[in-house]
Order: sequence, then structure tokens, then C-alpha cells
Amino acid sequence: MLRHEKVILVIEDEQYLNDLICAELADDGYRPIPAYSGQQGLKLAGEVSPDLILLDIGLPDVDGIHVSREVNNDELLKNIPIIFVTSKCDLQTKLASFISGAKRYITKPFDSKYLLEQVRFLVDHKPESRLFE
Amino acid sequence: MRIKPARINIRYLVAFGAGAMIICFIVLSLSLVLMTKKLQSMNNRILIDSRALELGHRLVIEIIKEQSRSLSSQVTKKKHKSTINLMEADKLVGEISRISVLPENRNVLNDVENQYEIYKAIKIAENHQSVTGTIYTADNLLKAVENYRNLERKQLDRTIASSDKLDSLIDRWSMILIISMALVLAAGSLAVLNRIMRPTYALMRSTEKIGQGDFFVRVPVYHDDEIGMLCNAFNDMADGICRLENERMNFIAVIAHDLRNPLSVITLAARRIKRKIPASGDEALWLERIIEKSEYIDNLIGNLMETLHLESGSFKLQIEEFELLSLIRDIVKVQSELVKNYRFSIVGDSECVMQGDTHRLKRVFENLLSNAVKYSPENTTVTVSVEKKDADVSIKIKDEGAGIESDEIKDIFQPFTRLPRTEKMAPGTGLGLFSAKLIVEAHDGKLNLFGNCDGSGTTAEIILPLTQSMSHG
Repeated sequence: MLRHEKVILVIEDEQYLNDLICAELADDGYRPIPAYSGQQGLKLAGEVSPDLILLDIGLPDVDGIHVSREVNNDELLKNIPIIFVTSKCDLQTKLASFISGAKRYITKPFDSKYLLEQVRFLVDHKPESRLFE
Repeated sequence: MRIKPARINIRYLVAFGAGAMIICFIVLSLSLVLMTKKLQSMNNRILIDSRALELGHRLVIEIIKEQSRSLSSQVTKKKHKSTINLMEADKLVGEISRISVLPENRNVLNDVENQYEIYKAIKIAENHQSVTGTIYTADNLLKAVENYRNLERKQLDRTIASSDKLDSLIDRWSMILIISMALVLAAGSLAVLNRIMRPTYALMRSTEKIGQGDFFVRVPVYHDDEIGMLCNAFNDMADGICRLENERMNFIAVIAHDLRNPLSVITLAARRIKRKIPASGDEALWLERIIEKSEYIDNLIGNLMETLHLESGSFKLQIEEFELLSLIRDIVKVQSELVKNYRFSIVGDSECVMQGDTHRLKRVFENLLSNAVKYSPENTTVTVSVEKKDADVSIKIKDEGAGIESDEIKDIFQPFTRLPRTEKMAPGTGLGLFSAKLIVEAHDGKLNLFGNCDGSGTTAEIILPLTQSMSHG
């Protein structure tokens, strides 16, 4: 089952949603690690060095854009692809997320099939160059 | 915000203007009255002088008549009987001395009276026996009367001359009165126009605009007066409305946003269950309904967010050039695959390259096409016609469905409004036409609906300019 054996860090404060995303990822052969706040996510990212991060924007402590920026400023972590999974759909937030280093932007509610396709693409392929250097 | 009291009060301005007008009027009127009185007394003087001249003239005639009678009685040796003629002369002299009141005439008049008394005394003494004595006195009397008449004539000429002068002065004053009143009135009207009418019209126009939903309009404050205070109060109110509107939009945006998290859980969980447990019968149906309704709520939230975004006026059109007919053909193709039991026809074969936000205009066409299908019975035709008109293009989407009454058209463009008559025919959020109108208007275009309920269906007409100004980009 664990054919990919890739680690995905899921930073999402809504516990049920986090559980569901983790379950879908696990079903697809990934090893999901849940985090429920920005700080916890950053700490876990440093510890486990995941293959991909799924990131919400509205988090209880720091916002997702900040987390993404921190990850991209870290020499060891900056190659980890980030997918934003958020309910914010305005242009400014989208732009800010891409500038902070995100590779994909998925708005809630989403289809798990689509999410897994994007995860698979980013994890299996070589890292794309950043949109904004 | 507390309104700052006005520095200049219109009340005082009006009172000042009215006061100035009244004072001006009183002064000019009084001087006119005085001058008229003076003119009147001059007229009296002229009358008296004329009368004195006439009396003098009659007296001369009487004396000459008397002398002539004396002469004729001398010649005929007949005794002159009557003294009535002298009585007439008495009356004339008496009247002359009564009406002559001017002191400077007194001396000459006294001379006339003395000469007359001498003449009378000699006349009575001679009693028509001789005319030699009276000839001399009569001459003296006539000279005195002539002197008097000359004086009166000069007096009369002088009075007439000054009366003429006064008359022309009154004419001038009247003219000045009329012109100054007209000037004061004109200046007053201009001041009123400037102070009251201009800001009032500006206020009226702004109120109309706010009524039409343009909350960003503000009134210019022309003067620091009561109307200025009103304009300031109006602007504060408009600020307040803007604040409330922002809060309302933020509130809806926050709620919509917060709904999306639990909705994601519901949709994901339902889909997962559907995939994991092969449900059958009722359970499968209910699960399908959960997914369907979750998608409907998601769609509603999406529409709501988009509408708020459009309504806030903060969005920018992504203008690009496109070929209208091929865009419509693509949309119609997708639509005809979705609904099989309707016929679609596209009229208009010439190419029509235009500018616009393709993504948003596509949504408008999709919305109108889906409305045409939703509210029409099966096996009917939906016709899309494209026609170029000078600098505009008109796109008509005509169906053969339920139609629309003219009094329903105004309501149907309101957000969350659906017609009770057709509500049951298809699901909807009541936001589609509202958003479509906002998008079309953002392109400087117009969206109109025509039709009636006699079975001829509804026609939606979109008029768009072929090119967009750079401000949209």
C-alpha cells in the first residue's frame, strides 16, 4: 500500500477536515502528518522534512502565507512544494500565496480526486521553478 | 460626527437683503413724495399767477370800457347813469388783492389799489361831466395794472421754468428708483441662486444617485452656511452608509467563508462514504442527495461571493480581444450537450471581433442560456442572434417559454429575487440576473428583458460596445 512512502504535512486547523484529508492521502499511499496550527506545522516541517505541504490560510496563530514564506526562507525546506487549500478566493490572497512560494491553490470545498491529482503531480515530478523568485 | 455651526446664516443674508431693499425703497419713495408735493404747490402758484393775470387783464378792459363810456356820454351830452361798471372793477381789484399773497408783489399791488382809489374818487367827483381829470388818473391806473401784470407774468414764467425742472427731476428719480430696485432684485436673485439653488440641485442629484445605489457620491460644500451644513450632514450620512455597506459585505463574506470549511467536511466525507461503502437502495439515494445539496450550497456561496465582489465595484475587468460568435457557439455547444430535449439556433454569420472580459461575459451568456432552458418547456427552440449596430453589438437570447410581464422585469434584476409564478419550475439562487447585469454594466453595456405571458416567450438583449476604454483594463 505504501508505494510512494512520501510524507505529506497537512496544516489545517479544522480537525474533521484535517482527518478527512489525511485519510484520503493515506488511502492513496502517502504518509500524512497532521498539524493544527501554523507554529506546529513549521515545527513539524523542520523535524520531518516532508515531501509536500498542504496548507490552509486561516490558521489560529499565524496565517498560511506567513508559514509558506518561512518555509521558503529556510535553506533546508525551501524545495518542499506547497499547496494552499483554503476558502479564500480573492485575487489578492491568491497572488500573495503564489508570491510566498506556493505551487498550487485549491479553494474549498474541493474534490478529493483533484487534490490527490495535484499532490501526485508535485510529489512525483521534479520540483518546478518558483513562480516568483 | 457633530455638525459645525455655519459661519454665515442665510437667515441673516435674506434679512439683510430685504432690509436694504426696504430702506432703499423708503428713501426713494419719500423723496418722490416730497418732490411731488413741491410740484403741486408750484402748480397752485401757476394757477394763482394765471388768475391774477386774467383779473388784471379784465380790470384793464373795465377801465377802458368805463373811459369809453365817459367819452361817449360827453359827446352825446347824455348823463352816464350806471356805476355798475365801477362795481365790477371794485370786485376785480378786491379779488386781485386777495389772491396776491407774495410779499414782493405787495408794493406794486398797493400802487394799483392807490391808483384805483384815486381814479374812483375823481370819477365820482366828476360824475361824467368831464373826462380830463380821469384821463390822467386812468393812465396812471393802467400803468400800475400793467406793472402788476408784468410782474405776475415774470413770476409765472419763473414758476413754470422751475416746475419744468422739478418735473424732469422727478422723472430722473423715478427712473433711478426703478433701476435701483431692479438691480437690488437682480443681485438678490443671483445671491439666492448661488447660495441656495446651486447646492440644492447638487444635493438633489446626489440623493438620487444614492437612491440608485451609488454610495460613493458626495456633495460639494459651496458655502459655510445652513445649506453647507446640510451638505456636510449629507456627506456624513453617505460615509455612514458606505461604512454600513462595507460592514454588511464583510459580514456576508465572513459568513460565506466560514461556511466553506464545514461544507468541505460534509462534501468530502459524503464522497468518501460513497466510495468506501457501496450503498444501495435508499441509502445511496440519500447520500447522493447530501452530495447534490452540498454542491448546491457551495454554488450558492460561490455566486454570493462573486456578486459581493461585483457589487463592491472593486473588481477589474480582464479585457482581451475575442470573436463573439465562436464564444457563443462554444457555450451553446456545451449547453446543448447538457440538455438534450431543446433545440438551439444561432443567427448571425458575420465575424464579430470585440473586447471584453471573456471569462465574465461567458458567465453572463451561460446564465441567460440556462435561464432560457430552465423556464421553457421541452422540445422548444432557444435562438441566439448576434447583430452589429455601429459601435455596439446586440446579442438576443430568445426562448419559447413562460415569458415575463413588464411589471416583473424591474423585480427580477434584484438580488435573491425569483418570480413566484416560475419559482417552482427550476432551482436557482436569484443572483444570476443580478450578477449578469452588473457584469454587462461594467462593460458599459445594457441588459434588458422583453416579453409577455402569451406564449411568445422571453427575449434577453445584451448590448455591448465593441471596444472597451482603457480604464477597465
